[in-house]
Amino acid sequence: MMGGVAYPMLTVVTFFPLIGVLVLLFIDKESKNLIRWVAFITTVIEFILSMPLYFRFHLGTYHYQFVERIPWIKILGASYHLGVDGISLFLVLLTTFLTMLSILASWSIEKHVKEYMISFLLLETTMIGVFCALDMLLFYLFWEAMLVPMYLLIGVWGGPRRVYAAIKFFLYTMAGSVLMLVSIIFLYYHHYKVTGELSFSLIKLLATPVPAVVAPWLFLAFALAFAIKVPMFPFHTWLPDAHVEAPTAGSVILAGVLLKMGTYGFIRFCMPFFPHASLRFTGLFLVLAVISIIYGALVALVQDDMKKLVAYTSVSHLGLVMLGMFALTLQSVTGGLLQMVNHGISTGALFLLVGMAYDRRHTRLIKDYGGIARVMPIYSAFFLIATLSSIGLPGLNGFVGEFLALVGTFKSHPVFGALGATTSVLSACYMLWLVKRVFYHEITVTENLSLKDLGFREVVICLMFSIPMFWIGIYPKPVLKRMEPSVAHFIAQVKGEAAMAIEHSPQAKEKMSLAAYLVEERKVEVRP
Amino acid sequence: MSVQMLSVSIRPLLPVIVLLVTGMMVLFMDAFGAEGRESHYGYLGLAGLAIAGWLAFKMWGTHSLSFAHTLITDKLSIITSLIYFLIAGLTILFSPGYLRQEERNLAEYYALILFAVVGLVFMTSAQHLVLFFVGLEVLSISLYALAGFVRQRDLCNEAALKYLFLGGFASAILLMGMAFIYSVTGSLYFQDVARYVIHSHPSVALLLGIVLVLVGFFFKVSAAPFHAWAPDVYGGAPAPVAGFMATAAKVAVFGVMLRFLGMAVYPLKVHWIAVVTVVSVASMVIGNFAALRQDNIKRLLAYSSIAHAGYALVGVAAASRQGGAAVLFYMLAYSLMNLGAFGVVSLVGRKGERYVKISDYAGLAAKHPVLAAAMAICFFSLAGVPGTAGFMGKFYVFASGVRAGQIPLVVIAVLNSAVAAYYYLRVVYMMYMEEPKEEYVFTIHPAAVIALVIIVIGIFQLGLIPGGVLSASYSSFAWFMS
Repeated sequence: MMGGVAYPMLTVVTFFPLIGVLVLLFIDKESKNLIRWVAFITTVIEFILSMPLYFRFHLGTYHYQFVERIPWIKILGASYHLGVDGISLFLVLLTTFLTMLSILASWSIEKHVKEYMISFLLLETTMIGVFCALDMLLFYLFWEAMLVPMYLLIGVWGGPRRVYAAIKFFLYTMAGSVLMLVSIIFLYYHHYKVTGELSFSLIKLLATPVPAVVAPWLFLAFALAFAIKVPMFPFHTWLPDAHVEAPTAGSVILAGVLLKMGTYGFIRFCMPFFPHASLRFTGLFLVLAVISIIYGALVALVQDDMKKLVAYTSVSHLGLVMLGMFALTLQSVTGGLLQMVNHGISTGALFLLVGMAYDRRHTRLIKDYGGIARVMPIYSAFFLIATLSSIGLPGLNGFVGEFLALVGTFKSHPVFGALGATTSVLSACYMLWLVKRVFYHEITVTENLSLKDLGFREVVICLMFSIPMFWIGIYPKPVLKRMEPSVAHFIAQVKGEAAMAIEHSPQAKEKMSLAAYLVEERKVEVRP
Repeated sequence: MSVQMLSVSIRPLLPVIVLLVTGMMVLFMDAFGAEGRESHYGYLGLAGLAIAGWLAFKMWGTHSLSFAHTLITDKLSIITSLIYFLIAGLTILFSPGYLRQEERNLAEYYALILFAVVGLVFMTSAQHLVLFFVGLEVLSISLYALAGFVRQRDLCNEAALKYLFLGGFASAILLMGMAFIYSVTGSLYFQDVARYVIHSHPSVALLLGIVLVLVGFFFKVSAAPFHAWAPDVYGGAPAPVAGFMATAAKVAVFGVMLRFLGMAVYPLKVHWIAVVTVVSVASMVIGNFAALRQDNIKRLLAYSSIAHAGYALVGVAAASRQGGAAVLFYMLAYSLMNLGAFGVVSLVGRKGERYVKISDYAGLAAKHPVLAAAMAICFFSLAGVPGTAGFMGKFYVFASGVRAGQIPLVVIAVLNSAVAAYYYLRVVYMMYMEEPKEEYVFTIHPAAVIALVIIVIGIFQLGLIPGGVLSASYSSFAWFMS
């Protein structure tokens, strides 16, 4: 917790992009290059500002670090409460990293550059806020506010069906989250009833277990919000639309960061809040996770649009993350968590690479390419690296996460582990087949003969992406060491409290129906 | 002695007297003054509102009953008065440009708004149903005239006439209900009714009276199924007036509703909560689903305001001090965003309000980025996006519902607000994601800019640091019976 007092590191990291927004507001909208540079430099500084989180992170503790807490709305007991632990640390870093590269990859945007960059910087603030907030109201504020810039990014700068995709994205997410809001309010008043203190603090609310009769319902309300975001089968239908229509950088952020908010929500809120209910629904979620893995992969296999293909791989990969988390062993959860970061890097890279091809040929259909390894050797090399990282080749980052998640799952649920392991085969199928069709064989389409290879800016982006791929692949220890205490604590929380909840819940209350419980609750409240 | 008595009883009325005097001054100066100064009377009205607001603010924390205990001055009456002054001030700021463009730049417009505010203040200060009724009629008569103010436009006249007939109808029902209550309890003082209700068994006549009074209230807040007039009236009335009607009258009637339900007939809450719950659900569902199909932005806002009445009723159905505070806060948030939306409509509509279709907003952001941003902020706030006033308002209302155990009602409400996001987003999408079809040539009066700035600041202030206003509204309901 060094430096937490004097220098509010998380506040600075969260809100620094807004300074960039302020500067941008005063720049003439015609000086597009200046706008791009200001936005880029803002995100570079932001990334540098976020680095101390990694280096000054204390190992060996699951407690939140860099904590800041000041009262926000006193009458509601809400506070401005930020902090990171091993679970959120890498997601924050991933966000600053990907945003920086996304801005660099947005140089080709010509339409309303100023508004584009402002939306992107606002998005960055809300995303980091989601991962840092330790107050439920603050979390919800960032969680929903994030929809607005993303809605604009898809809707204004997206492809032909952008409006449909943007509205679908917004409504899907909003419909999912409103029920979570009701659950949050319920937890809040339950805490008040038990302790007499109004508070939205995550830590305090976690310390007050909910009655067993309502827990499953609250769990489902939270789970719906997060499952839509992940997205888990059958709530994934917004994803292909949003991904295909979003501008390249939007897809990178969508896949790289936004989807992680769903899995993050499960590990941070949903499962620790309702350990008993999570265990009860474990079977359901493992099944859904396996369906997501296999279904996502099979659908990816038959896509003829490269971007759509990469979009469906997200469904499959995030399914693996969910599998690891619900398998609830130290390896599987750590693996799932690492896989979240890996997926952000490798899928982000793939979306960018597809975007680079699209910039040149204005098509994403696989059949319009073929044999381009010959004209674009550098591009092909980077694409292959990203592909191998995505399918989990040993030595690259994807392997570590996938391996840990599967090994851990085998320990507790061998059958689901076996089914989940099909991901290694299937991902090799769809990705390598894609590579084969796009890069090898003869060039059949004459336009492809004159394709230009990557420019300096693009090479820089690809190199930046390659660094963490190799680093995590070869030497993942510093990353895992930072995650493990928090993961161990998470598992203890879920398993330990579930055991307690079973012991302490009186049979009578257990059997009571939800309706009866609500009636009873109202009687208590109604008394003057 | 008599002097002292006088000073005691006049003081609570000072803000109202200031407004009346200002209104009269506007009328007289217009009658005897030079031509072409009409807009200045608007600023005179603003000065009157500012002085009245300052006087009211100074009374914060005092408590008094005056005029034979019919008039109460407490935190609720003061805070609602301040809200009316704010609404009226913003309406006046939007008006000079609008009236000039409609060639109806007449001073009595401003006088009518000031008189309407006088009626509003009496409504929420009343401890006696007849005084409330007098306030309501003062308000209504001013609004009838304002709704038809641009008399060369047919829609305007239609709006005024419809509002007159249906408003009269609602008043009659209200009076009928008051008569029933009087016949049973023998008094129209809130305290006397409360005393009667506590000590005796409720009779059918009393319950009927309460229901009729509630129906009158529901008419005035345009809650379904008593909402049919709202789309035509808000759609036809001049845009700034529509904004004023949709906000000020609702704040007042919700204030009175809470006083009546929370003070006079609180012990009968089992009965009235049921009625309020049904009306709340009906308003949300009918308002939101009808709004999905609107092409005219004023009618869209009208249906949205029906839905918002439904959300606010969730707080009434909570039947608690917190619920009351939530409704009050919600009404303030709702007023700001609705005034902002109607204000932008009055600008984009241009002469004769010819451009009031949603498709007339296509590409507005490309031509008027700041105006479009203000409109988008109002609409995101109406949709309840966190960080805006609309979210905090909804959050607090829903929280009071959950606390009162009204979970099914709250679940219906949140699902409705997800549906509502669709039609609010449609307007944002028009402005930002469509190509502009025209040049959007219109002049924006500087006063309107000031109003929009105040509204946007207010929306973010209530959305991000609502603590002070929340505490003030909570303390306004210290008398709530629960």
